[in-house]
Amino acid sequence: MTYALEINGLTKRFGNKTVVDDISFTVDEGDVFGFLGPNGSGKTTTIRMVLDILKPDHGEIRLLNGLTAGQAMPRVGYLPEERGLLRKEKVSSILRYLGQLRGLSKSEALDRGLELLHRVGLYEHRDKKVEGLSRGMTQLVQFVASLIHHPDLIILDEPFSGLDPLNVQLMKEMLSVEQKRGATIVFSTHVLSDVEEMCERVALIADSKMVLFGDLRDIKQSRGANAVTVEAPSHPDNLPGAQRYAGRGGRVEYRLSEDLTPNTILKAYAEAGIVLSRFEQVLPSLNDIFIEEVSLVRQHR
Amino acid sequence: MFDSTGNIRIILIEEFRRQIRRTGWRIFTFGVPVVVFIAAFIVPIAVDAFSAGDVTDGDHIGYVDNSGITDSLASFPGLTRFGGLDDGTESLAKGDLKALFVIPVDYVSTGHVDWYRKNSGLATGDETSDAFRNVLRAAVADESLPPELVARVLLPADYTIFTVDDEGRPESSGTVQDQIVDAAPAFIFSMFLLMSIFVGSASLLQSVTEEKENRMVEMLVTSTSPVSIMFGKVLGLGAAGLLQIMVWMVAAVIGAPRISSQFESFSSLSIEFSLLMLLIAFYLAGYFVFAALMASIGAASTSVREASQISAIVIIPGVIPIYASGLIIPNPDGTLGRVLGFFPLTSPTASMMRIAGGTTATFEIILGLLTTIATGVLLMWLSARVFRAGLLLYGQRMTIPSIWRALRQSG
Repeated sequence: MTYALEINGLTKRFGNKTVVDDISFTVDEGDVFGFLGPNGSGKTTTIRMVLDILKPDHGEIRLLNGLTAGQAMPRVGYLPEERGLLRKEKVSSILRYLGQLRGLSKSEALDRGLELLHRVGLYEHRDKKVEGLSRGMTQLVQFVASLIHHPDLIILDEPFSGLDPLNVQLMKEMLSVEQKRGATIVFSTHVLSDVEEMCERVALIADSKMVLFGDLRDIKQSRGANAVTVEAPSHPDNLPGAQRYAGRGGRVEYRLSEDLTPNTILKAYAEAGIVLSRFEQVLPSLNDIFIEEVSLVRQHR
Repeated sequence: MFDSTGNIRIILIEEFRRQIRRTGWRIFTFGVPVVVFIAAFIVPIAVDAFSAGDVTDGDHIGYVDNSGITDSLASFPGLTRFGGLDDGTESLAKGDLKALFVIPVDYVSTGHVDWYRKNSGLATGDETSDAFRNVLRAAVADESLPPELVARVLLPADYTIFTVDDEGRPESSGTVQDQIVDAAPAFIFSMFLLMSIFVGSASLLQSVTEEKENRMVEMLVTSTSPVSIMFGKVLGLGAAGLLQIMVWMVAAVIGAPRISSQFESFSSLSIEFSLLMLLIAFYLAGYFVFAALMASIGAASTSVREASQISAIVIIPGVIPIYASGLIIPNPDGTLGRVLGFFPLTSPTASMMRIAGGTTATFEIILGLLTTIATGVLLMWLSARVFRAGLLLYGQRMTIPSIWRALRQSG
């Protein structure tokens, strides 16, 4: 198996505090990978170790099929969590400079920078100084800087925070293009709807420790269904212990419990002679899983 | 892997470009030649224009001598004698005179003279009184002394200075005026040298701390190695400083002959080639010492403000020779000059001061230069490690143990 990122037993302490505690996971090549966790859980520290900005106390990191960070770095694109660019510099100059540092010639860097500015709708701002841009625009410039050298691995730390929905959509579309090109994308977030929309695999850390890692669908299925959705012209009244939530178009959702299984519900509809047009088990949302797991870790603290 | 050499070149060019486009750098770099230009070209023209109406060479001092002490003197240029007070005050009122002095009958016994002025300003800065005092000196001396002694009373000594070496051999150093003129280029260069070193190293500090504070450095360290960033910045800003020094040197070389031809007292002014070479050598050596320290401070600090405060510890020793110039220049081979000449943070300025003072210990100047260069190289090597370690301390409070741990990790 070829991995775009392989982390094994990663540990980092700041003084007496362990901020990343024995974390291991892998990211397949070409994947879009969500790295989740509440604020202060150790996501950014982990990313900084992956990028060799911080040195781990223990553990091993390999990128792009077995390379060290130093070897892989020219093929990695990175958007830091805390945004900032040289405020007195022109947008096109910064992109040209960062492009050159990532191995492009001066003209290639300039052309590629302008092309990316076109794509995010900032071409007419190319000669403006960064201090003249809004926060969202600065974030987009920094985002395109991370893509300027056609990286094979793109690591984004909270990429969508502070952006309006249109720009979030724009970034997602551009990342989708990068994935189709063959790039692997790893991003950290605590906005779980983004993960459900974009990622096939995820890792969740809480309080510095790894809580969950794997295929998102497998994780959900392993939890089992916690509700069923039923669409029918009418609904029986005699379902003991049922928590029923009415939806639109004759649809209701039942919360499952030990006394209320999918079979109990089906049987109740059959006995009442009601013909179902839809019956579906509902897997737990990532949001539910996140809250449950993080709460569990905090209870055991 | 990163292309370190290529990236150092890219960062060097970028930092150089940014520095020479800064308004402050441009004003400072081109302001100095403008000052030299004004001194060399504008001031002589202005002096010519204004001196036409000056008190010293026009008929602007009048006097009335009731004592008769000036009777035997030939007429002085610029002085008009009046027969009575009324004639004199009338002339003063019309504006023909700047001042009117009346010597009373009992002048010799009292020394009292009446001074009539049209303006009511403070009399202390009015040079007509000094000019008339010389007239009175000549008049008093003329009563009893031959003319050559009168001249000596007016100008008692014009010194020629000799320096005696350890074996008692004297060597002429010219007049006091000559010494001032000889000292001027090296003294002025020592000021410019220090300013240029500070401008370059302070820009480096600012560049490092700003990029660290606004997280640009995170994008940079994932694009190239920290050591490449540090060397690129140090060399780029150093090159801008070198350009600055060279602009000043060209201005000085063009301006010096003009100044010496316009001002009689600066007629012996010349800028020697060896001084220019020493200026460049001391700039480079001094810059690397300060730059290495500033890069370390910038990398280890968490904010621009914190870095500025810590950098004062490095800057203060650098300006000591300026404050001590009154002690170093008159005694360039004294203990203070020699100690400061060998200490890397003070060597560039102190050595220039010693040269200004006319030191004969060329060997010690060269040794001071070599010591500074060696310290610069050593500090750059250390600074590269601290720079890397400083980035490892990302977001952490800076303590001595944490720096030490990071230094060990970075190795």
